[in-house]
Amino acid sequence: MSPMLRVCAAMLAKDLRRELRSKEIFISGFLLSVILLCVIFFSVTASDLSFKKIGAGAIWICILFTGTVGMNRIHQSEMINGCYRGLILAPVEGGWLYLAKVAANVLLLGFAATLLLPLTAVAFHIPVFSNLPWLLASIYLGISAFAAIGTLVVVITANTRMKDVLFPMIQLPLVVPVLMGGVNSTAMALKGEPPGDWIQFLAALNVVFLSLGFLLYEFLLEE
Amino acid sequence: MSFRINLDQVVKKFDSFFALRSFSEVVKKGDRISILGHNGAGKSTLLNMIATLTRPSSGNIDYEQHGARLNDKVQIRSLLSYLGHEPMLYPDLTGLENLRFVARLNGQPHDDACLLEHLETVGMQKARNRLLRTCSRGMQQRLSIARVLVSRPQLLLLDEPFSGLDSEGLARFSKFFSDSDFSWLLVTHDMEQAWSMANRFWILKRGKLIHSLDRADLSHANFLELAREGTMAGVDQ
Repeated sequence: MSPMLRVCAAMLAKDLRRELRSKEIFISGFLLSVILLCVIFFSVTASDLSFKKIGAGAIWICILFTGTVGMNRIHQSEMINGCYRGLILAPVEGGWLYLAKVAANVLLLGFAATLLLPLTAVAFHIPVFSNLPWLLASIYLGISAFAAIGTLVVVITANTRMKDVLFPMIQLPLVVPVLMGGVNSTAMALKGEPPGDWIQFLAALNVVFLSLGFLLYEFLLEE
Repeated sequence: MSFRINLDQVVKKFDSFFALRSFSEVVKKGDRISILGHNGAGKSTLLNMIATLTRPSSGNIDYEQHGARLNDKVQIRSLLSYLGHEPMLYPDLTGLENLRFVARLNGQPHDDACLLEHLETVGMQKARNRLLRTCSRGMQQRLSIARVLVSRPQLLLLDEPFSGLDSEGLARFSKFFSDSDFSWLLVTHDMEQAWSMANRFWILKRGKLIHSLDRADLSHANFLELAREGTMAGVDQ
Protein backbone atom coordinates (compact mmCIF):
# COMPACT_ATOMS: atom_id res chain seq x y z
CA MET A 1 0.00 0.00 0.00
CA SER A 2 1.34 3.46 -0.88
CA PRO A 3 2.16 5.82 2.04
CA MET A 4 -0.70 8.14 1.05
CA LEU A 5 -3.28 5.33 1.07
CA ARG A 6 -1.86 3.88 4.27
CA VAL A 7 -2.05 7.20 6.12
CA CYS A 8 -5.51 7.98 4.70
CA ALA A 9 -6.86 4.55 5.63
CA ALA A 10 -5.44 4.78 9.17
CA MET A 11 -6.74 8.31 9.70
CA LEU A 12 -10.21 7.58 8.28
CA ALA A 13 -10.60 4.40 10.32
CA LYS A 14 -9.53 6.24 13.47
CA ASP A 15 -11.72 9.34 12.94
CA LEU A 16 -14.82 7.36 11.96
CA ARG A 17 -14.49 5.02 14.91
CA ARG A 18 -14.11 7.96 17.29
CA GLU A 19 -17.09 9.76 15.77
CA LEU A 20 -19.27 6.64 15.95
CA ARG A 21 -18.41 6.37 19.62
CA SER A 22 -18.53 10.02 20.70
CA LYS A 23 -21.01 11.45 18.11
CA GLU A 24 -19.29 14.76 18.85
CA ILE A 25 -19.52 16.25 15.36
CA PHE A 26 -23.00 14.92 14.79
CA ILE A 27 -24.29 16.46 18.00
CA SER A 28 -22.40 19.76 17.81
CA GLY A 29 -22.62 20.27 14.03
CA PHE A 30 -25.69 18.54 12.67
CA LEU A 31 -28.08 19.58 15.42
CA LEU A 32 -26.90 23.18 15.04
CA SER A 33 -27.77 22.90 11.34
CA VAL A 34 -31.26 21.65 12.15
CA ILE A 35 -31.77 24.65 14.45
CA LEU A 36 -30.47 26.98 11.72
CA LEU A 37 -32.83 25.40 9.17
CA CYS A 38 -35.75 26.02 11.55
CA VAL A 39 -34.72 29.68 12.02
CA ILE A 40 -34.42 30.21 8.24
CA PHE A 41 -37.73 28.39 7.68
CA PHE A 42 -39.64 30.64 10.11
CA SER A 43 -37.96 33.81 8.78
CA VAL A 44 -38.96 32.87 5.21
CA THR A 45 -42.50 32.02 6.33
CA ALA A 46 -42.80 35.48 7.91
CA SER A 47 -41.57 37.21 4.74
CA ASP A 48 -42.59 37.26 1.07
CA LEU A 49 -39.54 35.27 -0.03
CA SER A 50 -39.99 32.11 -2.05
CA PHE A 51 -38.88 28.86 -0.40
CA LYS A 52 -37.36 27.63 -3.66
CA LYS A 53 -35.13 30.70 -4.03
CA ILE A 54 -33.72 30.44 -0.51
CA GLY A 55 -33.01 26.65 -0.66
CA ALA A 56 -29.39 26.77 -1.91
CA GLY A 57 -28.50 29.55 0.53
CA ALA A 58 -30.04 27.61 3.43
CA ILE A 59 -28.04 24.49 2.58
CA TRP A 60 -24.77 26.46 2.46
CA ILE A 61 -25.45 28.42 5.67
CA CYS A 62 -25.86 25.06 7.40
CA ILE A 63 -22.70 23.64 5.79
CA LEU A 64 -20.76 26.75 6.80
CA PHE A 65 -21.75 26.58 10.47
CA THR A 66 -21.64 22.78 10.74
CA GLY A 67 -18.22 22.85 9.09
CA THR A 68 -16.81 25.59 11.29
CA VAL A 69 -18.05 24.02 14.52
CA GLY A 70 -17.21 20.47 13.37
CA MET A 71 -13.65 21.25 12.27
CA ASN A 72 -12.97 23.08 15.50
CA ARG A 73 -14.24 20.08 17.47
CA ILE A 74 -12.21 17.61 15.39
CA HIS A 75 -9.05 19.61 15.96
CA GLN A 76 -9.68 20.10 19.67
CA SER A 77 -10.06 16.37 20.10
CA GLU A 78 -6.68 15.91 18.38
CA MET A 79 -5.10 18.30 20.89
CA ILE A 80 -6.31 16.27 23.92
CA ASN A 81 -3.56 14.06 25.38
CA GLY A 82 -1.06 15.57 22.93
CA CYS A 83 -2.34 13.32 20.12
CA TYR A 84 -1.35 15.96 17.59
CA ARG A 85 2.30 15.60 18.60
CA GLY A 86 1.95 11.87 17.94
CA LEU A 87 0.84 12.67 14.38
CA ILE A 88 3.70 15.14 13.87
CA LEU A 89 6.24 12.56 15.03
CA ALA A 90 4.97 9.82 12.70
CA PRO A 91 7.46 9.04 9.92
CA VAL A 92 5.11 10.37 7.27
CA GLU A 93 5.34 13.40 4.93
CA GLY A 94 3.37 16.34 6.35
CA GLY A 95 1.58 16.66 2.99
CA TRP A 96 0.18 13.11 3.21
CA LEU A 97 -1.00 13.82 6.76
CA TYR A 98 -2.75 16.94 5.48
CA LEU A 99 -4.52 15.13 2.64
CA ALA A 100 -5.57 12.33 5.00
CA LYS A 101 -6.94 14.84 7.49
CA VAL A 102 -8.86 16.68 4.73
CA ALA A 103 -10.28 13.35 3.49
CA ALA A 104 -11.51 12.46 6.98
CA ASN A 105 -13.03 15.94 7.43
CA VAL A 106 -14.77 15.77 4.03
CA LEU A 107 -16.26 12.41 4.89
CA LEU A 108 -17.59 13.53 8.29
CA LEU A 109 -18.92 16.89 7.04
CA GLY A 110 -20.25 15.31 3.84
CA PHE A 111 -22.22 12.79 5.86
CA ALA A 112 -23.80 15.57 7.93
CA ALA A 113 -24.63 17.52 4.71
CA THR A 114 -26.18 14.42 3.11
CA LEU A 115 -28.44 14.03 6.14
CA LEU A 116 -29.44 17.69 5.78
CA LEU A 117 -30.60 17.35 2.17
CA PRO A 118 -33.90 15.49 2.80
CA LEU A 119 -34.69 17.89 5.67
CA THR A 120 -34.08 20.88 3.40
CA ALA A 121 -36.13 19.29 0.63
CA VAL A 122 -39.11 18.89 2.95
CA ALA A 123 -38.80 22.30 4.66
CA PHE A 124 -38.13 24.38 1.52
CA HIS A 125 -40.10 22.39 -1.07
CA ILE A 126 -37.05 21.95 -3.28
CA PRO A 127 -36.60 19.04 -5.70
CA VAL A 128 -33.27 17.65 -4.47
CA PHE A 129 -33.66 14.36 -6.33
CA SER A 130 -34.37 15.81 -9.78
CA ASN A 131 -30.72 16.70 -10.47
CA LEU A 132 -29.00 14.69 -7.75
CA PRO A 133 -25.57 14.01 -9.38
CA TRP A 134 -24.93 17.76 -10.01
CA LEU A 135 -26.28 18.66 -6.58
CA LEU A 136 -23.99 16.16 -4.85
CA ALA A 137 -21.03 17.28 -7.00
CA SER A 138 -21.66 20.91 -5.98
CA ILE A 139 -21.96 20.08 -2.30
CA TYR A 140 -19.03 17.66 -2.08
CA LEU A 141 -16.64 19.81 -4.13
CA GLY A 142 -17.61 22.79 -1.96
CA ILE A 143 -17.12 20.81 1.25
CA SER A 144 -13.76 19.55 -0.01
CA ALA A 145 -12.50 23.12 -0.67
CA PHE A 146 -13.98 24.21 2.68
CA ALA A 147 -12.16 21.38 4.49
CA ALA A 148 -8.92 22.10 2.59
CA ILE A 149 -8.97 25.69 3.89
CA GLY A 150 -10.23 24.81 7.39
CA THR A 151 -7.63 22.07 7.97
CA LEU A 152 -4.90 24.57 7.15
CA VAL A 153 -6.33 27.44 9.21
CA VAL A 154 -6.97 25.26 12.23
CA VAL A 155 -3.25 24.39 12.40
CA ILE A 156 -2.23 28.04 11.97
CA THR A 157 -4.42 29.07 14.92
CA ALA A 158 -3.80 25.96 17.04
CA ASN A 159 -1.01 27.40 19.17
CA THR A 160 -2.64 30.78 19.82
CA ARG A 161 -4.41 31.68 23.03
CA MET A 162 -7.63 32.81 21.30
CA LYS A 163 -7.84 29.88 18.87
CA ASP A 164 -11.62 29.43 19.30
CA VAL A 165 -12.21 33.03 18.17
CA LEU A 166 -9.36 33.28 15.68
CA PHE A 167 -10.25 30.13 13.72
CA PRO A 168 -13.62 31.40 12.38
CA MET A 169 -12.25 34.95 12.02
CA ILE A 170 -9.46 33.80 9.68
CA GLN A 171 -11.39 30.98 8.03
CA LEU A 172 -14.62 32.80 7.12
CA PRO A 173 -13.09 35.42 4.77
CA LEU A 174 -11.03 32.69 3.10
CA VAL A 175 -14.08 30.52 2.36
CA VAL A 176 -16.02 33.34 0.64
CA PRO A 177 -15.04 32.09 -2.86
CA VAL A 178 -16.12 28.58 -1.85
CA LEU A 179 -19.47 29.92 -0.66
CA MET A 180 -19.95 31.84 -3.93
CA GLY A 181 -19.16 28.77 -5.98
CA GLY A 182 -21.14 26.44 -3.74
CA VAL A 183 -24.31 28.55 -3.54
CA ASN A 184 -24.42 29.34 -7.27
CA SER A 185 -23.63 25.78 -8.28
CA THR A 186 -26.23 24.35 -5.86
CA ALA A 187 -28.86 26.89 -6.99
CA MET A 188 -28.36 25.91 -10.64
CA ALA A 189 -28.50 22.21 -9.79
CA LEU A 190 -31.76 22.75 -7.88
CA LYS A 191 -33.21 24.54 -10.94
CA GLY A 192 -32.35 21.48 -13.04
CA GLU A 193 -29.54 23.20 -14.98
CA PRO A 194 -26.00 21.77 -15.24
CA PRO A 195 -23.70 24.10 -13.20
CA GLY A 196 -20.62 23.37 -15.36
CA ASP A 197 -18.77 26.68 -14.89
CA TRP A 198 -19.30 26.81 -11.14
CA ILE A 199 -18.23 23.19 -10.79
CA GLN A 200 -15.03 24.06 -12.65
CA PHE A 201 -14.55 27.04 -10.32
CA LEU A 202 -14.96 24.78 -7.25
CA ALA A 203 -12.58 22.21 -8.73
CA ALA A 204 -10.00 24.96 -9.32
CA LEU A 205 -10.37 26.13 -5.68
CA ASN A 206 -9.77 22.55 -4.57
CA VAL A 207 -6.60 22.28 -6.63
CA VAL A 208 -5.26 25.61 -5.31
CA PHE A 209 -5.98 25.05 -1.61
CA LEU A 210 -5.09 21.34 -1.54
CA SER A 211 -1.74 22.11 -3.23
CA LEU A 212 -1.10 24.97 -0.81
CA GLY A 213 -1.93 22.78 2.19
CA PHE A 214 0.15 19.88 0.87
CA LEU A 215 3.20 22.14 0.57
CA LEU A 216 2.77 24.17 3.77
CA TYR A 217 1.48 21.62 6.29
CA GLU A 218 4.89 20.22 7.32
CA PHE A 219 6.17 23.74 8.00
CA LEU A 220 3.05 24.74 9.95
CA LEU A 221 3.15 21.64 12.15
CA GLU A 222 6.50 22.59 13.68
CA GLU A 223 6.18 24.01 17.18
CA MET B 1 21.44 -1.17 12.38
CA SER B 2 23.89 1.51 13.47
CA PHE B 3 23.03 5.14 13.97
CA ARG B 4 24.69 8.22 15.38
CA ILE B 5 23.33 11.59 16.47
CA ASN B 6 25.78 14.47 16.70
CA LEU B 7 24.72 17.47 18.74
CA ASP B 8 27.02 20.38 17.97
CA GLN B 9 26.87 23.59 20.03
CA VAL B 10 23.10 23.30 20.32
CA VAL B 11 21.40 26.33 21.90
CA LYS B 12 17.69 26.80 22.59
CA LYS B 13 16.41 30.23 23.55
CA PHE B 14 12.86 31.24 24.47
CA ASP B 15 12.87 35.05 24.10
CA SER B 16 15.79 36.06 26.32
CA PHE B 17 15.77 32.84 28.38
CA PHE B 18 18.39 30.20 27.54
CA ALA B 19 16.78 26.78 28.01
CA LEU B 20 19.90 25.04 26.69
CA ARG B 21 23.41 26.47 26.21
CA SER B 22 26.09 25.18 23.83
CA PHE B 23 25.24 21.51 24.18
CA SER B 24 27.66 19.22 22.31
CA GLU B 25 27.42 15.45 22.61
CA VAL B 26 27.13 12.26 20.56
CA VAL B 27 24.51 9.52 20.87
CA LYS B 28 25.20 6.19 19.20
CA LYS B 29 23.80 2.68 19.09
CA GLY B 30 24.04 0.91 22.42
CA ASP B 31 23.92 4.12 24.44
CA ARG B 32 21.57 4.13 27.42
CA ILE B 33 21.79 7.62 28.72
CA SER B 34 20.10 8.92 31.86
CA ILE B 35 19.62 12.68 31.85
CA LEU B 36 19.44 14.30 35.25
CA GLY B 37 18.96 17.87 36.37
CA HIS B 38 16.76 20.18 38.40
CA ASN B 39 13.36 21.44 37.16
CA GLY B 40 13.92 23.77 34.22
CA ALA B 41 17.46 22.49 33.56
CA GLY B 42 16.63 21.90 29.87
CA LYS B 43 16.18 18.11 29.88
CA SER B 44 12.79 18.02 28.12
CA THR B 45 13.84 20.80 25.72
CA LEU B 46 16.81 18.67 24.71
CA LEU B 47 14.60 15.62 24.05
CA ASN B 48 12.10 17.75 22.08
CA MET B 49 14.89 18.97 19.82
CA ILE B 50 16.32 15.50 19.25
CA ALA B 51 12.77 14.28 18.50
CA THR B 52 12.49 17.02 15.79
CA LEU B 53 9.58 18.66 17.60
CA THR B 54 11.42 21.98 17.91
CA ARG B 55 14.43 23.44 16.13
CA PRO B 56 17.55 24.62 17.94
CA SER B 57 17.97 28.41 18.06
CA SER B 58 21.55 27.80 16.94
CA GLY B 59 23.88 24.84 16.50
CA ASN B 60 23.24 21.59 14.64
CA ILE B 61 21.79 18.18 15.27
CA ASP B 62 22.97 15.70 12.63
CA TYR B 63 21.52 12.22 12.27
CA GLU B 64 23.43 9.39 10.61
CA GLN B 65 22.47 5.83 9.78
CA HIS B 66 25.04 3.31 8.50
CA GLY B 67 27.47 6.21 8.14
CA ALA B 68 25.17 8.16 5.80
CA ARG B 69 23.73 11.49 6.88
CA LEU B 70 19.93 11.67 7.13
CA ASN B 71 18.44 14.91 5.81
CA ASP B 72 14.85 13.77 5.45
CA LYS B 73 12.60 14.24 8.50
CA VAL B 74 10.64 11.11 7.60
CA GLN B 75 13.82 9.01 7.79
CA ILE B 76 14.87 10.71 11.03
CA ARG B 77 11.48 10.14 12.62
CA SER B 78 11.46 6.45 11.69
CA LEU B 79 14.68 6.18 13.72
CA LEU B 80 13.15 7.62 16.90
CA SER B 81 10.20 7.19 19.20
CA TYR B 82 9.29 9.81 21.77
CA LEU B 83 7.43 9.42 25.05
CA GLY B 84 6.55 12.81 26.52
CA HIS B 85 4.48 14.04 29.45
CA GLU B 86 1.23 13.36 27.56
CA PRO B 87 0.15 9.87 26.47
CA MET B 88 -0.46 10.90 22.79
CA LEU B 89 -3.35 8.41 22.69
CA TYR B 90 -7.01 8.99 21.83
CA PRO B 91 -9.45 8.87 24.79
CA ASP B 92 -12.32 7.50 22.65
CA LEU B 93 -10.34 4.51 21.40
CA THR B 94 -9.40 1.36 23.28
CA GLY B 95 -5.78 0.50 24.02
CA LEU B 96 -5.72 -2.01 21.15
CA GLU B 97 -7.31 0.44 18.70
CA ASN B 98 -4.84 3.16 19.67
CA LEU B 99 -1.90 0.84 19.06
CA ARG B 100 -3.40 -0.31 15.74
CA PHE B 101 -3.62 3.30 14.58
CA VAL B 102 -0.01 4.03 15.59
CA ALA B 103 1.21 0.83 13.89
CA ARG B 104 -0.65 1.63 10.64
CA LEU B 105 0.64 5.20 10.63
CA ASN B 106 4.18 3.94 11.12
CA GLY B 107 3.84 1.25 8.46
CA GLN B 108 4.35 -1.53 11.00
CA PRO B 109 2.46 -4.84 11.24
CA HIS B 110 -0.93 -4.14 12.84
CA ASP B 111 -2.41 -7.60 13.23
CA ASP B 112 -3.89 -8.38 16.63
CA ALA B 113 -1.27 -11.00 17.51
CA CYS B 114 1.56 -8.52 17.05
CA LEU B 115 -0.19 -5.75 18.98
CA LEU B 116 -1.19 -8.09 21.79
CA GLU B 117 2.46 -8.96 22.21
CA HIS B 118 3.20 -5.28 22.91
CA LEU B 119 0.26 -5.08 25.29
CA GLU B 120 1.56 -8.13 27.12
CA THR B 121 4.98 -6.48 27.44
CA VAL B 122 3.40 -3.55 29.28
CA GLY B 123 0.97 -5.72 31.28
CA MET B 124 -2.17 -4.38 29.60
CA GLN B 125 -3.38 -7.41 27.64
CA LYS B 126 -6.45 -7.95 29.81
CA ALA B 127 -7.45 -4.30 29.57
CA ARG B 128 -6.92 -4.14 25.80
CA ASN B 129 -10.58 -3.40 25.04
CA ARG B 130 -11.03 -0.68 27.65
CA LEU B 131 -11.47 2.85 26.35
CA LEU B 132 -8.44 4.95 27.16
CA ARG B 133 -10.56 7.53 28.98
CA THR B 134 -11.65 4.87 31.48
CA CYS B 135 -8.05 3.85 32.22
CA SER B 136 -6.14 5.16 35.23
CA ARG B 137 -3.08 7.41 34.88
CA GLY B 138 -0.76 4.45 35.40
CA MET B 139 -2.58 2.31 32.83
CA GLN B 140 -2.37 5.15 30.31
CA GLN B 141 1.35 5.41 30.99
CA ARG B 142 1.76 1.68 30.30
CA LEU B 143 -0.10 2.11 26.99
CA SER B 144 2.14 5.08 26.16
CA ILE B 145 5.16 2.85 26.61
CA ALA B 146 3.52 0.27 24.32
CA ARG B 147 2.94 3.08 21.80
CA VAL B 148 6.63 3.92 21.58
CA LEU B 149 7.53 0.25 21.16
CA VAL B 150 5.04 -0.35 18.33
CA SER B 151 6.99 1.75 15.84
CA ARG B 152 10.12 -0.43 16.40
CA PRO B 153 12.54 2.51 16.69
CA GLN B 154 16.34 2.53 16.99
CA LEU B 155 16.33 5.11 19.77
CA LEU B 156 13.74 5.75 22.47
CA LEU B 157 13.39 9.25 23.88
CA LEU B 158 11.77 8.81 27.28
CA ASP B 159 10.71 11.84 29.30
CA GLU B 160 9.92 10.63 32.83
CA PRO B 161 8.39 7.36 31.56
CA PHE B 162 7.79 5.91 35.00
CA SER B 163 5.57 8.65 36.44
CA GLY B 164 2.24 7.27 37.64
CA LEU B 165 3.37 3.64 37.56
CA ASP B 166 2.81 1.27 40.49
CA SER B 167 5.66 -0.76 42.00
CA GLU B 168 4.97 -3.70 39.67
CA GLY B 169 5.15 -1.35 36.68
CA LEU B 170 8.36 0.24 37.92
CA ALA B 171 10.04 -3.13 38.36
CA ARG B 172 8.68 -4.39 35.02
CA PHE B 173 9.93 -1.45 32.96
CA SER B 174 13.23 -1.03 34.79
CA LYS B 175 13.97 -4.63 33.89
CA PHE B 176 12.58 -4.27 30.35
CA PHE B 177 14.65 -1.21 29.46
CA SER B 178 17.76 -2.66 31.13
CA ASP B 179 17.51 -6.02 29.32
CA SER B 180 16.25 -4.94 25.89
CA ASP B 181 18.40 -4.08 22.86
CA PHE B 182 16.99 -0.57 22.61
CA SER B 183 19.18 2.49 22.88
CA TRP B 184 17.52 5.24 24.89
CA LEU B 185 17.72 8.68 26.41
CA LEU B 186 15.86 8.78 29.70
CA VAL B 187 14.91 11.91 31.61
CA THR B 188 14.43 11.09 35.26
CA HIS B 189 14.66 12.56 38.74
CA ASP B 190 15.22 9.17 40.37
CA MET B 191 18.98 8.87 40.83
CA GLU B 192 18.96 5.21 41.88
CA GLN B 193 16.92 4.24 38.84
CA ALA B 194 19.17 6.32 36.59
CA TRP B 195 22.22 4.54 37.99
CA SER B 196 20.81 1.03 37.77
CA MET B 197 19.61 1.26 34.16
CA ALA B 198 22.04 3.47 32.21
CA ASN B 199 25.56 3.14 30.86
CA ARG B 200 26.02 6.89 30.40
CA PHE B 201 24.84 9.96 32.30
CA TRP B 202 24.29 13.57 31.34
CA ILE B 203 23.83 16.00 34.21
CA LEU B 204 22.39 19.39 33.34
CA LYS B 205 22.31 22.55 35.42
CA ARG B 206 20.56 25.74 34.26
CA GLY B 207 20.74 24.70 30.61
CA LYS B 208 24.40 23.64 30.70
CA LEU B 209 25.82 20.15 30.53
CA ILE B 210 27.96 20.06 33.67
CA HIS B 211 28.87 16.35 33.57
CA SER B 212 28.93 13.74 30.82
CA LEU B 213 29.85 10.48 32.50
CA ASP B 214 30.45 6.83 31.63
CA ARG B 215 29.29 4.25 34.10
CA ALA B 216 32.57 2.35 33.71
CA ASP B 217 34.52 5.33 35.09
CA LEU B 218 32.32 5.87 38.13
CA SER B 219 31.53 4.45 41.51
CA HIS B 220 27.96 4.60 42.80
CA ALA B 221 28.96 7.13 45.46
CA ASN B 222 30.73 9.35 42.91
CA PHE B 223 27.69 9.28 40.66
CA LEU B 224 25.34 10.25 43.48
CA GLU B 225 27.58 13.14 44.49
CA LEU B 226 27.79 14.52 40.94
CA ALA B 227 24.09 13.95 40.26
CA ARG B 228 23.13 15.83 43.43
CA GLU B 229 25.22 18.76 42.27
CA GLY B 230 22.92 19.12 39.27
CA THR B 231 19.60 18.17 40.78
CA MET B 232 19.92 20.19 43.99
CA ALA B 233 20.12 23.53 42.13
CA GLY B 234 16.77 25.27 42.38
CA VAL B 235 15.07 26.95 39.46
CA ASP B 236 15.66 30.42 40.98
CA GLN B 237 19.29 29.87 41.95
